[in-house]
Amino acid sequence: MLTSGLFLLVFGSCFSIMLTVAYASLGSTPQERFITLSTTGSDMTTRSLYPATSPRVGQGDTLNWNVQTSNHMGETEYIAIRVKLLNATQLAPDEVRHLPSPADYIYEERVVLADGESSVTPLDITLKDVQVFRDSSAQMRAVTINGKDIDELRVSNFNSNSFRFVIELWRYDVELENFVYTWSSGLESESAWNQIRIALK
Amino acid sequence: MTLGLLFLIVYTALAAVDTTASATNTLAENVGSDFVLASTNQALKSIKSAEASGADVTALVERFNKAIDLQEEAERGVYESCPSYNECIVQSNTMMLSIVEDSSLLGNQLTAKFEQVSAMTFTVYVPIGSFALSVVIVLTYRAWVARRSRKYQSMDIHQRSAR
Repeated sequence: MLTSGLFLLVFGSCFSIMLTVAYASLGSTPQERFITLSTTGSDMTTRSLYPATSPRVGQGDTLNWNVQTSNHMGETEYIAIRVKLLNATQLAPDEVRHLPSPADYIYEERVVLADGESSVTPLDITLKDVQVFRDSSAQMRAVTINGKDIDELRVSNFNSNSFRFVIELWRYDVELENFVYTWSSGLESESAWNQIRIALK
Repeated sequence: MTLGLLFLIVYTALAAVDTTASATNTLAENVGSDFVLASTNQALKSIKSAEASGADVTALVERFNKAIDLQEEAERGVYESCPSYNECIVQSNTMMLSIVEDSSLLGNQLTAKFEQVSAMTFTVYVPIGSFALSVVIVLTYRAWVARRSRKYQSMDIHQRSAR
């Protein structure tokens, strides 16, 4: 029986099938790579982003936000959450070309997330020194973020009292030995950022 | 005159100590930041490597986050877990180096285990499993053929009567 053509044919087929199954079960399955970033208020909803119901805030007001990040990159990621303060005309991050805002960041929080892990980073921003002028222009001179004083901001607006806090997600690239703004998912580049507008009163 | 000379000696000695301390501190800050970068990079690489081997790196990630907290304390100059800049950097580097060691060990163990499992699977389990399955299939097939043959052989032939 063992030398018959039928047995050899069946054995060959079974061996091929079992080999494929074993190889597939021992290897890792490909998955989509992404990191999520979302910003909410103190009660983890967008309703509480501002102290009052409107985005109008003044000197001494505190914005209590929570920045949630979740790592689905298939490996551990060392990420940096960078906060930028922009006026009404400064460039926000480029969604299409995946470029960060050219403005310098004023605050940074770093955290390491294992694959599948999430974290919540509180951001308590107090408007320490802001001013709205009679000609409707406005200036933000100093803020305090998580107890750290950030002075000499001098972010000004002409004919507008609108400012934006941009929260960008950067990840550490071990090959480049630096934080980078994008990651690759298949053939495409991806990035993550949030923007929250405030109006000075 | 003697008092003046004594004052000059003490002043020179104090200045020398101060200069040395200041130089050491500057050197520590410069070297510290290089060390921080190198050890952080190495620790992250080793965690990723251990993770790729299938290790559970949750505890290592937790330690990495503590080491980052120490670096941030040093950068911000707000010392809560460590008394000074240098102490924070030294503690952070020590933690990073221990992470490198532990994750390498964990990764090597799991790689060796994975290689052993792979070798056993491809050289023992797959051939034996295929052989056993083939024997079962061929025997079942032959039994089915024999049964069908017996069934045909034991059939009665009835001729339909013509109308």
